[in-house]
Amino acid sequence: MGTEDNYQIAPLEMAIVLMSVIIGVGILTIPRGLTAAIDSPDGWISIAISGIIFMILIYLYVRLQQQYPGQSFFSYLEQGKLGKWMANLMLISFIVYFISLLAFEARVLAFVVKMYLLDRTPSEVLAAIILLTTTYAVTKGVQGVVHLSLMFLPITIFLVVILLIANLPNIEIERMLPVMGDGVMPVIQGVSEISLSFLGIEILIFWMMYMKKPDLRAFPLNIAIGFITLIYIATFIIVVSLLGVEGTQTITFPTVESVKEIEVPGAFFERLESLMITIWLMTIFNTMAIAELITLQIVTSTFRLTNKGLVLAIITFITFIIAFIPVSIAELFTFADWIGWLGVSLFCTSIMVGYLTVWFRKQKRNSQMPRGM
Amino acid sequence: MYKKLLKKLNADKVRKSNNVELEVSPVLDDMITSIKNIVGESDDVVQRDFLIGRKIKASLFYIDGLADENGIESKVIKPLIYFSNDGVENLEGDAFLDFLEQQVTNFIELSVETTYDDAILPLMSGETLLVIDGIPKFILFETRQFNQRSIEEPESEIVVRGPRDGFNEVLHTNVMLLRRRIRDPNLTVQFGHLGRRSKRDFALVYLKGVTNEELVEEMRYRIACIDIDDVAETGDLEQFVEDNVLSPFPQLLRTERPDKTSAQLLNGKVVVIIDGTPFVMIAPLTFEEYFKSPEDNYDRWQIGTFVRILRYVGAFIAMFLPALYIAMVSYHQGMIPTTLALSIAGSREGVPFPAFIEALLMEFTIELLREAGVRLPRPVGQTIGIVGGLVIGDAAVRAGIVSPIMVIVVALTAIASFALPAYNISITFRMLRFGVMIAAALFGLFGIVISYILINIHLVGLRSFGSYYTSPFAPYEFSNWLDLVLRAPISLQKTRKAEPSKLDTKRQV
Repeated sequence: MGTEDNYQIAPLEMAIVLMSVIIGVGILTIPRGLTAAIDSPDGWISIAISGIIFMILIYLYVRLQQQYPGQSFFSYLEQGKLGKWMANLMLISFIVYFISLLAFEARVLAFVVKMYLLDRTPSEVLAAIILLTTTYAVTKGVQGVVHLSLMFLPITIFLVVILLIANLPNIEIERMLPVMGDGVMPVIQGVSEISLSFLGIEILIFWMMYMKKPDLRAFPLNIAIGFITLIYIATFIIVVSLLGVEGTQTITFPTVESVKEIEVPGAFFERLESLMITIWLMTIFNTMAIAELITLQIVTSTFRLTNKGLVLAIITFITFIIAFIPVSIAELFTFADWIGWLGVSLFCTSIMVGYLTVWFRKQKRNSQMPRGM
Repeated sequence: MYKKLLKKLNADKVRKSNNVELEVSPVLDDMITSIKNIVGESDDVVQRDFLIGRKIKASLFYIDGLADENGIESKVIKPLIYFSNDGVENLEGDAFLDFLEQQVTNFIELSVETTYDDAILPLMSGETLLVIDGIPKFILFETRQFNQRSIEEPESEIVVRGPRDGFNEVLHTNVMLLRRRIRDPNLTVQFGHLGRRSKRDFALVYLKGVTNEELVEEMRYRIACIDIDDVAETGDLEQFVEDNVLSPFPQLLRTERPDKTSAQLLNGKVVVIIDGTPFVMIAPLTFEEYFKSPEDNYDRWQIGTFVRILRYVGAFIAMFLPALYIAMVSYHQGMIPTTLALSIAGSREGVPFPAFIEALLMEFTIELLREAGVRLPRPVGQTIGIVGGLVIGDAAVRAGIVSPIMVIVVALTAIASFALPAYNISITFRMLRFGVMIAAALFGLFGIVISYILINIHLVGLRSFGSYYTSPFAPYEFSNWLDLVLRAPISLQKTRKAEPSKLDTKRQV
């Protein structure tokens, strides 16, 4: 009953997990990154386009997964000679990717907390605490981490929606106009910029094997992506129309800053941004816990290690070191761009390699069959 | 050395009496000697010698006080001595025994045993043992009588509306209370013994056809694994059969209320009743169970919903309010509205301690008061509440040890923690509160949210007899959300709870 071996993820749960891994620190920085890259208020179109692109990617991947239900992508790939070599190479890239993602999230969290909550506590301590917390979560396995997402996501989604609605009276929608005033090019540029914020869908490669065969459908997952896209668009529009394009470009975490504009009737609470960050920590935690668990799974399965505790400790330590390699916030965001590109290219490569393998094996099977049957 | 000792202990584990079976002899004097050797020199073991049909020698043993002496006299001894049947002389051994059983004694429950082990245990629990010359068997009459407390309203779970009966210390009465509520022939009651020395009776109760047989088997297995002198209370048993011993959260439900127990039985759970305690144990338990009182269902659904929301808020306050106070005052003064911040600062002016020490002092005091109030005799206990709450609180403020706002915080926390219907979970919350307070003192709001996350991580990892502890929050069971924070009209709640998995999921068709 409910052990790690026979644990299965329901489609709704997978959608929730996907949402909680994608909504990480992205939402805090999207408006700034996007307006800085394209210098126009048209970013929301870019978000919509990339949302659709990611939906297509997910559709493609789910189609691929249907070829080998109950099996992970890489164990399928490893069945071939060339595939084995390829799989190992990609797995190592994925380890690098997930550890970098983990380090990035930890560092941003340390930044945000230092900025809005605890200005005198050293970043190292904050990052260490969150990393230890996620490490504890990872010990609960896939089921534990999935259930944590189920527990936390409704709270954070509720918070975002409330904050967005509360900001409605303050916005000046004229700042969003004109639509496509600078032509189509900035929109296309924005699509490439936004990719990091949709990352997290790689977890499908590793966790779809926990789903039952009839549950392998793209629809619930794409609903999740659609929902996230809507939240991103709403956030972008509200933040930019509140702070203006120039204002958004210069502020590090414009979403948090926009929350400052909210006035609570009766003034029972002030400085809502502290409260928002507090609750937002749960989402960042979710992203990190999932990333760390997948790292652990990859490392232990690739190198056939059995001492999970030791591996986990080493992963945590390396992550901590990497988190403090970027010295400034600018370097951190450059680091983020690299992670983004690495993630997108890994995911696309996986899909391509996967389809090629499936096609190749089908060919082989057909040629082995005696003719005339 | 240590291992050697352990090995030796394990080697001795099998009792001598299990290996060496006393031989039963047909001679009455030998049997009497053996019984006396076994029960020792106890003065409360009564031996009564008499002649069956004024001819055959027989002896009767019972324990003074446990057995019903009037019943023995009128239903066992009298018929045995005075029966008159001339054809009896020819009957021998078992045939004679059958004759006695079927035609002479007018006792309902009667059993025949062949070994000393099987005969002495019922004797010790109040049954009457009869040995007859020439027959190497033991006849046992069920003469147990129980001096029991009357069925009263349970004190630990008080309801405004609802039945006023509660379990008492006698197993059979408790089973009766359940039978009276669920007259389904599928209600299965199985008795057993627990404890190497005490041989305490317990009953395993479940509803066949609803309860998952695996769950019943698991419970049976875990109970069978217990090897201990005595299990005094279901709380003892709980710690032997629960999944995680280190967790501060209780993983099995306990209650004194038959109505709550029968509702749980209908939800496919397994109930264990132990002789000698009014608390029954119910497995498995999910976290949200602790926010429910049977009363919720007896009143209007709006009332039930309102009260339940209050309880969730209460639990939150009990756990996080002092920590929030500490975090706000020491780290995030900016979050408090300016006027309130000023008044807090003003009231804290004379206080020599940081907010954390101040909160710790007061929270510790209130816990001390609670404990003292519980332990003291009832009339004094109430006085303690008044003296503690009012006098100490006021004096502490006047002496400048704590600020007035701290007293409000502490009072609110204490009241909120008492709003939970289950006493043991409220203690868990109060205990964890100190941990959260330390986290808040170190890292402010960040510390609070991290401790919240840590508690959640612990909860999602917990199991209660294979059931997810956090169900129906995680995994989502939307049909159960109608009876979670909300208490939707009962006509809408068509399915039983998701955990544990059960054979029959519909409760209304």
